[in-house]
Amino acid sequence: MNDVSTIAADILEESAETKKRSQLSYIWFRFRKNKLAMLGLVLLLVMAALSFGSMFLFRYEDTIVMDVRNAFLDPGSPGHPLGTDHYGRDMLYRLLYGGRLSLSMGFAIVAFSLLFGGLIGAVSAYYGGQVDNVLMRVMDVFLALPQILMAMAIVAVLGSSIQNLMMALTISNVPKFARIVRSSILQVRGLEYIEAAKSCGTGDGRIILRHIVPNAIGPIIVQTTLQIAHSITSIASLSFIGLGIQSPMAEWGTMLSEGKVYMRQYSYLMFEPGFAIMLAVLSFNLVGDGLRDALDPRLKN
Amino acid sequence: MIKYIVRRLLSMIPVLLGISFILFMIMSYTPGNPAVLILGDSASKQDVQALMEDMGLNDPVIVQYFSYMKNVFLHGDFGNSYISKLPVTEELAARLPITVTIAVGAMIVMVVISIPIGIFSAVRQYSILDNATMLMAMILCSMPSFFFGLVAMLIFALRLGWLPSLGAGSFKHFILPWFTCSSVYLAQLIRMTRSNMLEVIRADYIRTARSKGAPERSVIFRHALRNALLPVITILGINFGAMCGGAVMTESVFSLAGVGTMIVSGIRKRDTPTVMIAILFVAVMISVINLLVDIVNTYIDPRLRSSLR
Repeated sequence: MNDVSTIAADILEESAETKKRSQLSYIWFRFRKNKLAMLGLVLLLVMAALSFGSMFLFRYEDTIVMDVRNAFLDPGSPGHPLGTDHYGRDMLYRLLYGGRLSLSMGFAIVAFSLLFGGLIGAVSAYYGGQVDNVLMRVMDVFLALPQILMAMAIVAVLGSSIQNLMMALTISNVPKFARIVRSSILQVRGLEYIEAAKSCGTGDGRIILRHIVPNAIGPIIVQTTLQIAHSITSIASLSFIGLGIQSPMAEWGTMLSEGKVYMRQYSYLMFEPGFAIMLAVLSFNLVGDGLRDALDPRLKN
Repeated sequence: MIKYIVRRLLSMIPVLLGISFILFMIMSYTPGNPAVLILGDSASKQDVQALMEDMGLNDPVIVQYFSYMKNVFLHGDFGNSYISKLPVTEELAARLPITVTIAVGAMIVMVVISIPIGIFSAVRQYSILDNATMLMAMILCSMPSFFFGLVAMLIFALRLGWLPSLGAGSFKHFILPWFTCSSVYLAQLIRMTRSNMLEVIRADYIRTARSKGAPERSVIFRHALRNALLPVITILGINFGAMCGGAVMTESVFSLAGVGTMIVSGIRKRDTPTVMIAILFVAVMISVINLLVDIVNTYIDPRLRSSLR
């Protein structure tokens, strides 16, 4: 009896493994065929390479210096391809620095929210019953407020700095991830193949790692990508209204808020950081959409 | 139906209490002493101490919270602003019309523009117009609303001079804020309407309708649209909440004295009563809209009605 069940479990697992490998290459195949998604990925890699690569090329303190004599140089001026701002600081370098900030903060915020939100969601889905009920009601309270208002209030307590802004956005993101993770786990948990694996005597840990996680992770990955885009917008928005990263730090939202004063005469001061935010958000959105289509072709229209 | 509405209204109470509690905690731990804010920096220590005692600021935060809630429930008193010394309800009432005008107008702009475009795009899938629309929607989706607002202001107010750039005097003043507040959600709704329509158009009952010879117009509007709109309306409700948050950005771009700017300045000045009433109000508004959305859904989809009882 024992022999039969182990053999059955082995067969099941083996097929699951070959399936998984081919599944991954299928996903990549489908993703690669999607031109817009590939465009997003390329854009993203280029932006990341430029903004993080520039870390080795220049030091913020040496390169981004005030030089009032060279203020408001038009884009295309020698030595300043994107012009200079009202203090004569080079826009290109500032934008690159802002990119480093936005991209790394976006990643970090979403990673932490996924970690904590995922934990809450998983506990909620696993235990069910009262635990689920209480946790989800608490999440409801947080979700009843627009995320940006929540983040604003938290920043107010903590004071505005990079770490605090990240913490505020993480806290306001956690309920969303708890919901997403919980629902994707619940969707998978009741399916036949989990029951089949159980009936073959597969252990809980194995079921979770081999069967639940690979099947539940699709929508979570997609949402994670889209939430990075959203976080980048939120960072810029909070900085724009003065509750986020403060000037003179070169953050895109802060730069936009400084540039808007001069928008009548020197509109590039507003357009450059604006387009930078747009490009970053757009590339994450494109990749997220592409991933959604690649992970679940049935949804594709 | 009435029973359902009452139950939903009752279930809002714990959520609102939760929000009020969290907010109160957050505001009490915000650095800065309200007594100093009220009296000014030059006030003597004794005066500050006396006022703190008077305002109950020396009590534990929990006690402060309960006395705040007691005033709210027993006397309908949300307190006075620390800065202007006026009842915060007055300030909210003064600022409310602007925010409601923005949010409702943005909602109308969003529905009126995006649903027809979404349907058109779906019916002409993969045509040049469809591709162009989808590209535009994707770009608009990725444009933060405050950037959209500034660009629109630059083009239509400063360069072309068609619309006023700041303030809130007339209908014209609100055109740019409406588009700014709805821009991102408008784009999302176009994509959503299109993909739902595409899904529905391939359903069996559409084939049936076509095969029995129903005219294309009636297939699209009577058979397909009704089914495609259901998730769209749910999204509309969710978006309304996000749009209330977006109104904060819109108001600060166009310097409008609405509830959003009230929250921002309240947070900056650590004016607890102002922040409390403004954010609670937004939360109530969002909950009520979500309830309305659920009720509208039951009218569109009779299948949902059984779940109401």
